[in-house]
Amino acid sequence: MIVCIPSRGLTVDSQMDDRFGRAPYFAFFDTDTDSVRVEPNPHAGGSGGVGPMAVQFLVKNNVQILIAPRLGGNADEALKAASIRVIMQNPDVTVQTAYNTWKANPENAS
Amino acid sequence: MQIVIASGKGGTGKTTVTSNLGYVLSQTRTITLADCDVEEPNLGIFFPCIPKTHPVHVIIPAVNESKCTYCGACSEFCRFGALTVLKDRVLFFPQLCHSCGGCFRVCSYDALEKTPAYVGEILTCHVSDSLTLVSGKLKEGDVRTTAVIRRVREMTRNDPLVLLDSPPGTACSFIETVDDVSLCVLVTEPTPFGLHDLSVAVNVLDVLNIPAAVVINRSEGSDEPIEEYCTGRGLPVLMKIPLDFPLLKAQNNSDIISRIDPAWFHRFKELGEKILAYAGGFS
Repeated sequence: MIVCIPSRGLTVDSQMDDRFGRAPYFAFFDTDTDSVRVEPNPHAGGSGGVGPMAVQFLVKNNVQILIAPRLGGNADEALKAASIRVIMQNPDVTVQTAYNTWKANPENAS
Repeated sequence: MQIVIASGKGGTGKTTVTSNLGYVLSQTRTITLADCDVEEPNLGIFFPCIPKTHPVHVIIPAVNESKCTYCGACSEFCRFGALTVLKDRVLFFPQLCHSCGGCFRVCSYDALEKTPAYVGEILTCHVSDSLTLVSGKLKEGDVRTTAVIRRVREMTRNDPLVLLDSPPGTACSFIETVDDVSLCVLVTEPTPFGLHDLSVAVNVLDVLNIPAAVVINRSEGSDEPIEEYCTGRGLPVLMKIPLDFPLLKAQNNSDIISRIDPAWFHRFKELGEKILAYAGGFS
């Protein structure tokens, strides 16, 4: 299963980004191997509608779970339609910590 | 002949100048006033009448699911994020669509149907035998200002003399308003913001190759920074409007100072003549 976390930087020690559609990077964790790949968000600098665009980027990367702090209405609608589950997480942590926190207790996360 | 009254900065007096010029010029000529500030058209306040309403529609896509292959070409093309293609469905966000029509062109499966969407209306009325008012009014909450402005311009394109009241700023709606006009009169005020936004507007007009002239509003006798800028850029200052209590009072009573005060009538008549001369010797 692929878990996505918006990130401010290219490594998992970077802080989580508090935005979704305009986050500069996305970290993609593979839960089977705990391996991770960080990719630039191609829509971060878009003029508008970046929420749904980012969702489509997640769909292309086979994401099933998104760990994010907050979402816009359009992104929310697209995520629901794409059946991507959203886990709310305070962004005051690194990407790795956010992943570890979720992994330690995946069912209890809201 | 098409002449725009614009400003860069909002609230500098575009509508004050347009309404006075419109009134004064209509005494000797046939003139059309076109309110292109479609997000908040307010020229009608000064020229009350019962308008005719013309709805404005744009074309947006509707997905025909039986033809769509979910190839994603439309969403890749749409830079506004209005189309999201998932594995088994297409999401369309009408509030993000700019009606550019690109998705129809890139769809190889004829899966997008052209559907009209209401974005606003044009209000037209003959205020007097020589004065026609055409106001664009964007639907509340919509973003497609340029579609409504374009329609205002289409409806007034063949009129002999058109004064266009521009929206503030220098973005798409301003550019749609000034496209291909003879002259753009920039109304500014002697403040740092007035000067800054004036210079941005002048730079845009420069790129578009549209002649510009300046009116300084709320002048209190210390207009040097604006004047120095205008001299440096070779821009004529056509008029200075002082901070004048009777003028403000007339405005606040939705009246036009030129209609009630002969001195002001004369000043705006002079301005009108200068503008017409700069715009190309209209007689």
